[in-house]
Amino acid sequence: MKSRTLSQLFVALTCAVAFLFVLGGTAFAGGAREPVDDGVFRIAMLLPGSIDDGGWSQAAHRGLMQLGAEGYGTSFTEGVQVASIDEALRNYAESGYNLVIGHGFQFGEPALRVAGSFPDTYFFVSGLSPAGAEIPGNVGFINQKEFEAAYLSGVLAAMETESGRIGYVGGLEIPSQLANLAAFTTAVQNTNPNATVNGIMTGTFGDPALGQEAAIALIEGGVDIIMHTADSTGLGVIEAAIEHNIRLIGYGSDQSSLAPDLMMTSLVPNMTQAIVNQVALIQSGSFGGLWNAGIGEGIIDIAPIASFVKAETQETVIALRQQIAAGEFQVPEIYERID
Amino acid sequence: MEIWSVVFWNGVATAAVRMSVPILLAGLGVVFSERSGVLNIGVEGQMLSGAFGAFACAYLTGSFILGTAFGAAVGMMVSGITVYMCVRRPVNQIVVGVTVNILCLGLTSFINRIIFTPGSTPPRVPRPAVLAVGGLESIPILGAGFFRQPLPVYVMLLAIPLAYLVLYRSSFGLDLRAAGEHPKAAETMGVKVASMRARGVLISGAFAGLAGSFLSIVSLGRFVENISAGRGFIALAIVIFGRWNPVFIFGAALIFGIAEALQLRLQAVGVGVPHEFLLMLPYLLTIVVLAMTSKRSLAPAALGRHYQRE
Repeated sequence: MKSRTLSQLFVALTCAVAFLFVLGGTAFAGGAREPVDDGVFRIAMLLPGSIDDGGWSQAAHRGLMQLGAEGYGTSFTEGVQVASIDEALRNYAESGYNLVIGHGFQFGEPALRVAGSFPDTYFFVSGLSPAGAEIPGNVGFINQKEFEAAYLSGVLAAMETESGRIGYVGGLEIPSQLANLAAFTTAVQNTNPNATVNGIMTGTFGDPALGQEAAIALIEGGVDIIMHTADSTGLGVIEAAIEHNIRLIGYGSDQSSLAPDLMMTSLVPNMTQAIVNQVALIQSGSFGGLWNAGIGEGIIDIAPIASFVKAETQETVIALRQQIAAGEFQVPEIYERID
Repeated sequence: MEIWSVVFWNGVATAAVRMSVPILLAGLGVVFSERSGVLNIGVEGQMLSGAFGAFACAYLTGSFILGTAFGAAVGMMVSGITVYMCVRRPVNQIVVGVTVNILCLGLTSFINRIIFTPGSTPPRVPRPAVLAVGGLESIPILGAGFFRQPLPVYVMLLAIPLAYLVLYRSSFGLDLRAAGEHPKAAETMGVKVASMRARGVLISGAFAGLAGSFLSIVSLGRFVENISAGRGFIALAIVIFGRWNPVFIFGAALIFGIAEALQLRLQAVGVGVPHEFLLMLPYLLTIVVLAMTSKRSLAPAALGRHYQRE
């Protein structure tokens, strides 16, 4: 009997510890607190991946931390599974956060469900709004036009390739990923008719060993440049490229430090700017709806181009970037797989 | 690239073997645990912990061998939880396994962030180079698959005959299997069931740790949170598919490896076959094999049932 109680206690303890670690983000960030009215604007962020994923979630977390340093109250939860989104949104809203951010299109529908119960809380989703949905005044969406920078990357790759074969490794087949690949391929075709794009959608953002194998498969096929947009899966792409001396285009942040001699540029979202804009909109009373934001709005960009890239290529890409920013060039927005 | 070229299939073969090694190792370990009567659902967590332990040790000591050994040791330590809960105590084996997996995911990420600051350039360790076996490597496809690999792959493939011999040609293997088939009868014959089961689980943990080491310090050269990415669960599937037999398990692991290697390459060359279909194929085969063999259960008879000495 005694041993039974002991083992039950042990199970309970282990479960409790495991639970704590699962809630890691919240726990380490201080967790959900009681509302305090001290005039501090509080921002909470829900991240689908780890803050160490080298891409989507890491970039957003970096943006949030920057705002924390500027005096905003911040908190975040990482690794939020789809099943627990509603609960996580409610938890932050109940704890008095002014702005709750769901970083990914999967947060859209839960935010719309939850928003009605918390009229004083603003919900911001970094992703497209669900088709045909009615958007209440306290919910905002951003369509991050990553594909604009993917197009620039395609132009760069098309001008730099020698073999005429360019590789691309993506993550899940979600709209934003397909749009990136389609824009990249279109750019290559428009720039260099002799070049082709070989794309692989790995189906995951969290499997670097698979990303590495995907890149090896592309390299065996003769590509001499690979772009990735696959977060932690992409870290494996970078490893394979280093081993075979293949030039790269990175994602999520300026990844040049991971492969200084090979990384030509990176697709970089600027979440700090996106959030600051939302705070301004809230204060001016014009928050809400869907905001299409890309290079022109300062939300998406490419990292400084590496010095080993041909001067002519650099000039062309930078000139095109100016055109896109000024709205003189429309990057095709295609939500289907083209490679 | 032409699909019907030797170069293409050489690539498939090399990648297939490389990708099957981690699930094969974890699967071989699971055989020891399950043959002794204990479900080891926690294999995913043991693998992940092994991957982290191996990387941290290899990075800090600069020794590949020490890293691998430490990875196996960490996997074994983690499986100690399963030993305590499922062999010493009558806790539900599935619940324990799931708990171990969640615990390990959190714990490895947590410790990783304490040792290696996130955000900065992640540290790497040098990976072992490919060591082609002269003469044999030029055999089409088979040579590329089995004789054009890094040294650790050859060593780890030796685990298959070793596991087979230990399980079927040693008295330890006989006692271990007896503990999983009919623990009461085994106990009557003087087999210490609890001790056999504990050893089975610990061996399983060590294998899982080795599988993790392979991922972090042989394949990738770095540790990334949740690097195992569900490979432990695939290992559990190939054990069923391979009917708890090391040789068949090798075949099952290869099929998974081939499917994965092939789908990546078919996508790369732009063949019109949906890659999801190829990914589904091994699971479909597993279901077919299970359906065909379900008349005669091949699982150890006492699998998943706690044994209480009377």
